[in-house]
Amino acid sequence: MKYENPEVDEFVNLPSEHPLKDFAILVTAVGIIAIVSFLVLIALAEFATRYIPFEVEQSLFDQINTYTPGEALIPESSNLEVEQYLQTLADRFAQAQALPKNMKVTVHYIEAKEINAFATLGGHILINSALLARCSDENTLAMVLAHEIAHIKHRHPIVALGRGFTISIAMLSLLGLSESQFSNQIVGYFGLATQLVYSRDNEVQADQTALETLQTVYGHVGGADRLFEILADTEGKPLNQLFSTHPLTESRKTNVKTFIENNPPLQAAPVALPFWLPTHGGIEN
Amino acid sequence: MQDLLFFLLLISVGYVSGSVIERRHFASIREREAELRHILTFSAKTPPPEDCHRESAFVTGNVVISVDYFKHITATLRNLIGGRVIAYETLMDRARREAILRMKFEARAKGVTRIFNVKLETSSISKGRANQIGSVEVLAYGTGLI
Repeated sequence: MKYENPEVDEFVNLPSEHPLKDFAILVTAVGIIAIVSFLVLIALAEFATRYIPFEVEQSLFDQINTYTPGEALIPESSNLEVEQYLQTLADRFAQAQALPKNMKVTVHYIEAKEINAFATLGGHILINSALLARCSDENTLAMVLAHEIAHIKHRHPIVALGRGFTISIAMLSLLGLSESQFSNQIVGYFGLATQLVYSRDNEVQADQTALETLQTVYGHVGGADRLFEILADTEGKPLNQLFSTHPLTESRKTNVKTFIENNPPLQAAPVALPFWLPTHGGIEN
Repeated sequence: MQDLLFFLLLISVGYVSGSVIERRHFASIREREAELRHILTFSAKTPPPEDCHRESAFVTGNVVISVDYFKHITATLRNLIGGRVIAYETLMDRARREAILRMKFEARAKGVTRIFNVKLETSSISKGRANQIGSVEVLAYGTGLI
């Protein structure tokens, strides 16, 4: 029997699409689906978490803080005098911001090498010694405190927690079906990017409220630009700020300028800090 | 941020090296297919009556090809969305043709000109964890008539 084995064109089993184009389409499709679902979930989360009472926040914080002995979220302060002074200032600003009566602000002060200040659940604010040392006057310190108090006033800590939690649960349940942790990572980056947009919005809102507080208490916002100078000195290049939770320092400075244009300062002299406070630069009282 | 950059770096390396190796492999496959075109393979179980009294030999060829990182990521995204996994189609085509070619090489060494009852078996090789980058193994085997 005569058989033939001719050469056949390869088109039958080899696909003609380019793999990079295929990859781009896939990433775009996954990205769009992820972002749309996250936006919907975030809207629901933000709406619902604001109904959580402040007292629940406080008890949540107490639970987390004492959960692991020796590893508290906010450790005991090393310098109670400074903490008391900061608390007095904070109470003043809380009143200026018309914080609701049931929302109590507690300031914590700890020693640390890297600048940090944050507001967390239950009205707890932390300021560390590195930041305090860089404040040359009360107005700069006021901007920091007012900013953190503004976060508490707008309930950003619990809302941010609700946002993050909702997205984590959504990703775990949706992507638990996926075989690989790598596709989880890709969707995770989209989730992170979406959350960062909201986080930066919160920071802008807190900045705005803080500026208004400073204007009310001192009649001018002189400390704000000094604070952003300090931040600009210590943080990295703008590329590192791409994934930062805060807006670019340049845009924060611009916001201050806009605020000053709309709210002319009454008088510009900064208020000195108490002489016994551990700071590096200071103005003589 | 560094995680993302590292991830992109791995994907690029996977894509570049994977596509270079794949192109070379296909060129080599075409060349050898032309060389071994005279050895015929049949999926029929029994040879025709006139060939039944010849000597026979069992011939096999197998190949293990690894998935590169880029193919792996594309496949996992496909697993979320659905549809043809194009990256793996070229991989499987290469593996199948290579396995059959190696079977033909063994056949030539044994003096076989026709291979009947050719079968292909595919399995995936991974270390057991579901998320590992794996390899695919194709085994081609048949009865060769000398």
